[in-house]
Amino acid sequence: MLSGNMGEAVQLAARIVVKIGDVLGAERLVTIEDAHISGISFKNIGDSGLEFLMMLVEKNAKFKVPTTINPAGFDFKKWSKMKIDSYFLEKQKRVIDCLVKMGAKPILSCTPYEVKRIKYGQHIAWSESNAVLYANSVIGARTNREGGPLAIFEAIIGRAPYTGLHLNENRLPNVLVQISDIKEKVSPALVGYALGMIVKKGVPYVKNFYFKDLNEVKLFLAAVGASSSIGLVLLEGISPDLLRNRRRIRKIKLNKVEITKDDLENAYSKISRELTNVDAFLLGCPHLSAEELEKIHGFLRKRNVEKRLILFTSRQVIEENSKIVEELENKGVEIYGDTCMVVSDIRKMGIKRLILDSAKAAYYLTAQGYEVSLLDREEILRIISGE
Amino acid sequence: MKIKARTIVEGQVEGKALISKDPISFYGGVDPETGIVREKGHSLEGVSIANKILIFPYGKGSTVGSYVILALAKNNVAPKAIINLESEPIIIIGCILTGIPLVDRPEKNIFDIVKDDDNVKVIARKDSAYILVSRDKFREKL
Repeated sequence: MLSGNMGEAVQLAARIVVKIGDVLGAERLVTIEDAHISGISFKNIGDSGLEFLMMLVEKNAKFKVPTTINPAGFDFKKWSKMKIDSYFLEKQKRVIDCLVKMGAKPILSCTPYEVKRIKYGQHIAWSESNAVLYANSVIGARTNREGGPLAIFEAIIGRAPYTGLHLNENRLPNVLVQISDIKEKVSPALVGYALGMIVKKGVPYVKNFYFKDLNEVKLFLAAVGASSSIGLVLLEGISPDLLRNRRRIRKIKLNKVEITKDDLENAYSKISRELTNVDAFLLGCPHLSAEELEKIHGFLRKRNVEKRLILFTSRQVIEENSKIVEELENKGVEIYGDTCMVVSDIRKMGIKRLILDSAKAAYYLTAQGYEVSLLDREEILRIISGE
Repeated sequence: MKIKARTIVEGQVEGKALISKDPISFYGGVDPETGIVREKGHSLEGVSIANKILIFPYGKGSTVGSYVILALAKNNVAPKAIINLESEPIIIIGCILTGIPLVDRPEKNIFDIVKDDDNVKVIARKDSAYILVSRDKFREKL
């Protein structure tokens, strides 16, 4: 591969992956079975990113493993409703064309774990932090938190540096996190955000926090990804690695970190403020699963929708749940696919002040200058329906 | 003064030093058209990194930063070479794609030795790297 006998693109990709492996101290590369690439929205990567992708296409680059891609800057069927101009439209299409030419499947979703089947123990190269955390922590697949460009090169050669979370010894916990006894119900997203702020890196082991369902785990992990460089959280009763390494973990003396009510209030103050009047309520960071969409539909079915509610999910979920989507839309709910609240330009949709349930989106949207308030999904749905 | 370092991207180049004690986020932090640092409160805010021997601890921020390094090179406003304390994938990929010489792990405290506008020569060969520093012109033979 390095000699160039497999083409210029493979040679370049191999050179980069090997070099990164050297610097990270990897002894060799590991074969990967899947890839997922972030940095798709033209709003994020701009002309620099597009030119990079065009350079790879020119070199005839092809992905060696099944490769999916993150959300783009708008919904491809409702772009005019999102007030997208023709310049942005054209540039975004070219970005996706390049990736499709290299062999990517344009799922345009940040939840590849809900779109394709990834198995326990598989080595993969994913580069969307919430997806990396979910793959490692819930499925027990193995990936580091790759950057967008590195995942592209790894997908081209089908290999990644054998280091970090690819190695079993690095999947053992190094800190025990306890959530102190807090009476009222706390948002898993906020707990995740606070955990990331406090632990920052490594592999935390969370013992006594109860999740109602996997949707809560999703919001929790996405928040961890936004506030830290953590790529694996070991969750009691959920993470397969805890079973696999049970004996070894018992022998490890772990430092304890406690997340207190003050920590949660501190985390809350970083990403949320009290808002009385808002332009819209947004759900779907990470993208809503079919099950989440059904639940929202179930709650709103016999209620009125009195406020502006916007949902983000994958094209696949929209297509496979067309009846639910239609019924929600008839009630005035706006549903978008292919994109999300973070990588699209929701200002153009008349939104400056908003309420959401995702600490990850709260972090990124606050950084983009929006006024954001974080609430639980149940509360949001109650407000929407005027209860 | 001669400082040993580790080669990441090979090359040999000479220029004026520009020092940042803060890590640099190329994405959002550096204007790809002009090479001017835009990050608010950054020690290099308002300063151009174009054609400098740029010295900073390590890269930070979005991995889209690699593409920004590519754009800087295309617009002829990239640094001539980069010296890090510890390079990470964003900077490494950007430098490999553009051929900007990159070295890290200097064996002496480079922030104590090099000052802005010093003449610096980076010699990054396959197996060895040296950083030569001089306040005047180079007299040492390579």
